[in-house]
Amino acid sequence: MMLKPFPKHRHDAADVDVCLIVEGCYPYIAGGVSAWIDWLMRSQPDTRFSVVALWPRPTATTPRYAPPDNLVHLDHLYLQQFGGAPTTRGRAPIGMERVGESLTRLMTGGGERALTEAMDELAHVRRRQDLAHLFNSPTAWQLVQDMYRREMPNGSFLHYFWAWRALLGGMLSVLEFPLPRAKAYHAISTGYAGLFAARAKLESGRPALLTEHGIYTNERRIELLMADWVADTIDKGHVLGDPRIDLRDMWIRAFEAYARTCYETMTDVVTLYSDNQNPQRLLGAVERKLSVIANGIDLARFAHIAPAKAEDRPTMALIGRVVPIKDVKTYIEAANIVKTDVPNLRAWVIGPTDEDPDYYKECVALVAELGLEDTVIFTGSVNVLDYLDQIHVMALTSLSESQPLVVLEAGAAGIPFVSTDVGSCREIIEGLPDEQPAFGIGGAITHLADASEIADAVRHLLRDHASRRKAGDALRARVAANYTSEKATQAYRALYQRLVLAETLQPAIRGGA
Amino acid sequence: MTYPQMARQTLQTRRSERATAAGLSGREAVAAAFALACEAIVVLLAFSSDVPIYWTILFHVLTALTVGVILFSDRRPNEDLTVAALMFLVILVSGPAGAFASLVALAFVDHAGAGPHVLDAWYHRLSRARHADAATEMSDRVLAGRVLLSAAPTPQSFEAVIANGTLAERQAALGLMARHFHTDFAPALLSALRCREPVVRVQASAVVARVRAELKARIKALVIHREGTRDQSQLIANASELIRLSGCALVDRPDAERSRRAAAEALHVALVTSNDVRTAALKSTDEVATVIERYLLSVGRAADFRASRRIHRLTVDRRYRVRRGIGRLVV
Repeated sequence: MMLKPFPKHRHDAADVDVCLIVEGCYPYIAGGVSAWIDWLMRSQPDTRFSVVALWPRPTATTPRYAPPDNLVHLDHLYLQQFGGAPTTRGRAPIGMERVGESLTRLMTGGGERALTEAMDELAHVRRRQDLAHLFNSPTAWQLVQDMYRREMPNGSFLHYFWAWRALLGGMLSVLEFPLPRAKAYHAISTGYAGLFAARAKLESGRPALLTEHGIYTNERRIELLMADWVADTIDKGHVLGDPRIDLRDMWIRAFEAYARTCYETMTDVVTLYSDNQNPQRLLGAVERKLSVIANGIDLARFAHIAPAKAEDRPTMALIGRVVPIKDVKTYIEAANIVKTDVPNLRAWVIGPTDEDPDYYKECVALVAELGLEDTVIFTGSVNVLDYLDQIHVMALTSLSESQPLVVLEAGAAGIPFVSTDVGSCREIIEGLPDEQPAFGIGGAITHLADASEIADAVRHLLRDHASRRKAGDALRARVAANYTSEKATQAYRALYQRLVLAETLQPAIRGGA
Repeated sequence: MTYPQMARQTLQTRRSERATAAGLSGREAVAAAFALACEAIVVLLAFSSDVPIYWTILFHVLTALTVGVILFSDRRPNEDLTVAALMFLVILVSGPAGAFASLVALAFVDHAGAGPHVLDAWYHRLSRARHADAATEMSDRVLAGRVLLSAAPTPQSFEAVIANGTLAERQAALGLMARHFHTDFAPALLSALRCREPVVRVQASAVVARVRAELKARIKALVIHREGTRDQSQLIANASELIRLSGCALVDRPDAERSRRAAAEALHVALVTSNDVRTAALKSTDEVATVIERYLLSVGRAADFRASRRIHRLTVDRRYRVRRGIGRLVV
């Protein structure tokens, strides 16, 4: 299908209400955060948007979304293209030590003040030479040596040099990119997107908002702690808390510093569920800025679905892709345990099986080994709505989730839910401790990868019709009260109105590019 | 795009860039071959008394111009033309000798972009870094402060860290478990999955997903390796690792069963005779000796079990003397 091209000219950019800043997703990756951004723009038809899409370098991928009518323009900011051709001429301007010091402070500690100082120092350099020279010149050589001595004096300089280029290149790309005009800025993650939004706020005096789905810094930290492509140049053995900074620490510290800068600078910090707020607080987000706006679903789609009858074949179901992160094998093991007490059990696995064919084969082999061919049934991709009225209990054995829509959909259909303790599942199923009115428990929360515990919870709900009905009703009531599309739409409308109409503050830093 | 993805993409780009690192696009080889063929004709013309010399020179100039067209037409902006320019000049000035030299030189230039070792050597030449011996390298590492700190505390039990450590310590421990996984870490990892701190649970689940995939791949590799080897010590080492993996809580039930089966088959092949048992017992670590003894008991070879245990004990206690008798080992 040919999509309408994205507008790239800024002929009417002055009228933009909200500039969305997104990294590595919209409009080139389908689903997830990209789908949410598309929903956000379409749900606010009276707001005029622009988008700055951050990518490592130009991508050959075609957009996966048609631009909504209220999207004024799309800009691309490439993180790995900073710096001109190498030059051996020119001398480092006087005061380069201060530049190195301020950039080191921004990359290691971060914070609003560090960003302001770094931007001031860069403005000072810019008056004497092109900032691209900070990357490929005698000035760059002096800068990298200076920053190495400050930041990672024990580690390998060669490795530091390349990591420095990657990190500083990304940072300078963000600080040098022409700032699009808008009445408010909205970053969809911390990292470079958050840093850009922080700069936008300080440079324009306009408010800036951050919405985090997952906690970007945590995701980066997990990737970096496990990454094989990051060399360990200092031998720390298995000792924890060795104070020497190595490459891995350098990367993690930089992303934490960017996050701290973003949290300190933003006007508002929004997330999908309250558990996500703890890491935000740890990195400097103050309480008054924090709020939760949960994703919602369209309740009308589920209004006609009646709960499965007590006399129907006892049925549990997992709705999701058959991939390792969903831990479908634990679900199969749990079904095996439940079957000992519920012999005619049916355990559906509803979702595509073609994403990881090897894993799917392993699941099928496990089903065969346990003799569950008549019990565990893989439906493949189907219309979930056709199945919901036959399901007594839903289960989710995932190892990781954010705010899974499947829990909300089950709740909308009045089906109780048993889930591992991931993402916002506990909040949706059990409610917050201070919930008013208290709707009750909508199922059960279990530990991860614990088939027995999952089986116990499912068995209880399958056999006790009154408990099942009560849990289903509680979940339905909570979803209707807290997790509807309308509620999320209204919350963002109110937030945008407040930010767009806010008074412009005195810019804290001088113009960038 | 995640950072590992970015890293992979960068590596792929570097690989593709390596081919053009020396300014080669493939057309240099075509141009050199063409020039050599034409310059061979030039040589023939030069030695022919019927052809005036200016015709020979004209033919040479035409050849050089054609080579120029092949080399320089339709190039991308900013493309590295160093090699092409040098070739053109050499062929124009040196004629047949230049064409021949270009063709020979191309093989070396192309080779320069071929492998990491060559690039590494190039880097060392460029940076004037000398290859140091192991002692010098160690000394350098000590001076730079990159070796394990002598005053470093004893590593803590990962289970204790997961239970009582700070958030940063737990995260660091999980990173270490992910990068250097050993089956003994499984209990700590499973307790991290039950941690009350959501951040730890999320990281633990990522580690579990990675470790499970690695364990699966490791078992697959060991099973394939077992099928291809007859060497006794390798078979026993293989069986020992398979048995260790089969007992890990992170290994799926079918894989655990497959591991146990493969280990039994490996031991069956490695320990056919009593002499095999004695040889193996002499060389075994405690862990491997236990594996051997369990296997011997499971197949009812009581006499071999007793011999294996006796020999291994003596070996461990260093109270043995081995004489090689006729066709058999005597302890």
